[in-house]
Amino acid sequence: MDLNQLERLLHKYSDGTTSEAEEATLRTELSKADLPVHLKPYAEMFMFYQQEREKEFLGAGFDEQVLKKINYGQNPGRLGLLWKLAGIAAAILLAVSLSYVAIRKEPLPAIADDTYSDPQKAFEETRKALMMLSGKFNEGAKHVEKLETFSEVQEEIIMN
Amino acid sequence: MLFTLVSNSLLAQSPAFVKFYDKYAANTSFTQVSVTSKMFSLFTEMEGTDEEEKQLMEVMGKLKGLKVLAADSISNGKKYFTEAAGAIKGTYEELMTVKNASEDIQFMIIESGGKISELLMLVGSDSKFFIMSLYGEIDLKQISKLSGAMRIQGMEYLNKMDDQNKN
Repeated sequence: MDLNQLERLLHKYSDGTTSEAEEATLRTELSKADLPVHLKPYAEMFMFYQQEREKEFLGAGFDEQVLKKINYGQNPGRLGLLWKLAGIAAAILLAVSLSYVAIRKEPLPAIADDTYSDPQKAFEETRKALMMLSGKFNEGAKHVEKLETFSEVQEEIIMN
Repeated sequence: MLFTLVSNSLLAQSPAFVKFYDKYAANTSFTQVSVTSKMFSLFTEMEGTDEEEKQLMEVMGKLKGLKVLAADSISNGKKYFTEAAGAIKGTYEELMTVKNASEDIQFMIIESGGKISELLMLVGSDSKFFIMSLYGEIDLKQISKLSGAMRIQGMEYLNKMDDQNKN
């Protein structure tokens, strides 16, 4: 083949406008042993693309393989069933924990929180509470000491 | 579920009380006070100015938690009293119950080896409700002293108890 014609075809190929027939011509021409040296790199490139294109063609067993992959897990056997159950269990656990959190009226961290962040204020409230406790306790002890129940409790405590 | 387990163990106050407390803590008719061991540890850095404050510090220094739920103007204080008493039944030993014309008062404790680890006070009247749980190391004698009631005869029994503990 005329060298100019070959180069023109290569240009056409690189533009992506060659027909199937022209590519077939290129294939034969470029695989010839007497190819001019300056065209060798183009030839290699051309061959490479051709090979890669071949690879992308779907093989004969392609459909079968895809279907096999799609159906995988439909007939899971024992291990598959276990995975399924584990998934369901995890979902239930998550749902239960979340609903438990949602049902609570106050945010969870508040449970362990101090009502007061200022120690002075907390101290005052604690003082009030303790003084009230002390007062009621003494008042109670005064009333109660006449009652039998008191000595019973007293004995119980002393025995313990 | 896991969260409650964690939070209860952090509080270490009896779950029965905490459950009741949590039920009403968000209710606006109630005043709630919660002081944790972290806060109590801050108190120890304060200086007590007088005898009363020093005594308070002494009591507070051994506490790990305080929770109060109080309502001052409600219509059915005794209903809450009954509910609370029912909710915590079985958890505590009854220490003292006082019923007078205006209010019912109950003191309950959890103790082992002569040491009280939790003290609960429950007060209910027609218009008031009060529940308080003290957790930590509780010395009834010291608590009694706070309101300057050394003269009260009930102290005898407390002194006795104290002597017992020393032996």
